[in-house]
Amino acid sequence: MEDYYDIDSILAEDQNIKCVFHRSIPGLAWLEGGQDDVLKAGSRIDIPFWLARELIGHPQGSVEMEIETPDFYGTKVRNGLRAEATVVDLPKLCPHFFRFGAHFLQIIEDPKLGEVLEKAFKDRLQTTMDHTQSGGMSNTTEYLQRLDETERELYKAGLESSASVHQWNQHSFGRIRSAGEVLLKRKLA
Amino acid sequence: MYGEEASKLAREAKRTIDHFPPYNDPLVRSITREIRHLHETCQSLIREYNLQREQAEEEARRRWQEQQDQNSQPAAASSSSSSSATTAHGSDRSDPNHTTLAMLEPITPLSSRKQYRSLEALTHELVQPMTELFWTKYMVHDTPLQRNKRILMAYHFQRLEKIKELAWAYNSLSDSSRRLLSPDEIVFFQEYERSCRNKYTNLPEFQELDLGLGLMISPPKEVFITVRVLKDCGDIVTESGSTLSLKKNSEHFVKRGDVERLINQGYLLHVA
Repeated sequence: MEDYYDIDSILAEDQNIKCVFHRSIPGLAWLEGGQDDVLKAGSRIDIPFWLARELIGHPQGSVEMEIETPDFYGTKVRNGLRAEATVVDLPKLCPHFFRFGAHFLQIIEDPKLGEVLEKAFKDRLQTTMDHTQSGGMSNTTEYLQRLDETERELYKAGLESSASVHQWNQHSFGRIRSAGEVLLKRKLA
Repeated sequence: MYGEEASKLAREAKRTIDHFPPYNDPLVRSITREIRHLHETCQSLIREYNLQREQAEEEARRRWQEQQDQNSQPAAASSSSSSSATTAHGSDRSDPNHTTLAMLEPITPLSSRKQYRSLEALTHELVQPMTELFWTKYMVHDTPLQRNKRILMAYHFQRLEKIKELAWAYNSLSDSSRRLLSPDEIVFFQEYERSCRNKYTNLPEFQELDLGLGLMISPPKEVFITVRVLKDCGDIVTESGSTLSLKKNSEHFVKRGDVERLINQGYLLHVA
């Protein structure tokens, strides 16, 4: 995995999803928070994505299980995204909406979901970048609250580049910085 | 739930991507403890599984034997003939070049291959469900272990990148920076700085330019710069021989080379 060290990828996989095991498994009841030993067949449990991904279809054989598509990829949200993508509040649904979608689609076959995500991303990108260039329109802060993590990174990158252009215009590029500054701030120049 | 502490560490790494907090030793230690605990659980699961598997194979063999005894007569005749064939082989084993026609036949005659397959099928039937359960339980413990490891690696990787940046920009650690690093990271800083210095500053190109680690990371834009003094440094002698008295809050228009080191250490501030 080329993103082994990537913190965003790690956090995106932390999302919980619901799974159903088709057989009873002794000794795993704590997954459900249950008291007795056996995890009964057919019980819906909430486990993190990184765990579900390893359990499903292990080559040496594993207990059959099903994964449910989480609510935030359901019909209601998809309709909302299709109608007007820039308005949908993504971090409320899932902080790493797009990244998690990419991981999720690796184990679940759902081409429609892929299309919906792609289109929504493109629609929102345009507006996001507009906000970086204009230096803060009236509704920027509320707009920013509706961005998921990936979009926030892009927004920051956009801000940095417009600040760099501004700096270049002011001839304040190439400033020598002190040790404290290097540790405390990300590079601007 | 396993892996929660690790998620906490990952979130901290994400939050502090811009600034550099002190090394989170307690959290790292508790994660390594969890890894060890998971590892022990995995080992015991493996032992348990091997035991159960052996028992199941015994059971399968026993049942198979019963089946075979029930269909015994024709099978017994062929198996006795195959056993006599093997004893014949045994007597000729002393001479390796001696071949008999019997040797040229496949080692297990067809009927006993079929028997072998039925043994396999029976074993599989008994062992497979146990295997599935084992793998599920094992993965439920092994995956958090791997994830904890991954998060620890990512955390240290992120910090080390920052430390490397420090090493290239400055030759030594200030005290305040030293407090933020763990002892191992301090050692890394020193070793890294030493090896970079040994490697690069001995190259002939570097000798000419008189570059060391920590100076002129980006090409200078102008020869003279304006600086403001943050901390009182007394008087310094510049390259050209004149003295500058650096009192707090005074501004000077000086040659870059003279003051670069002082800016690095934080005594002066480079003002546009």
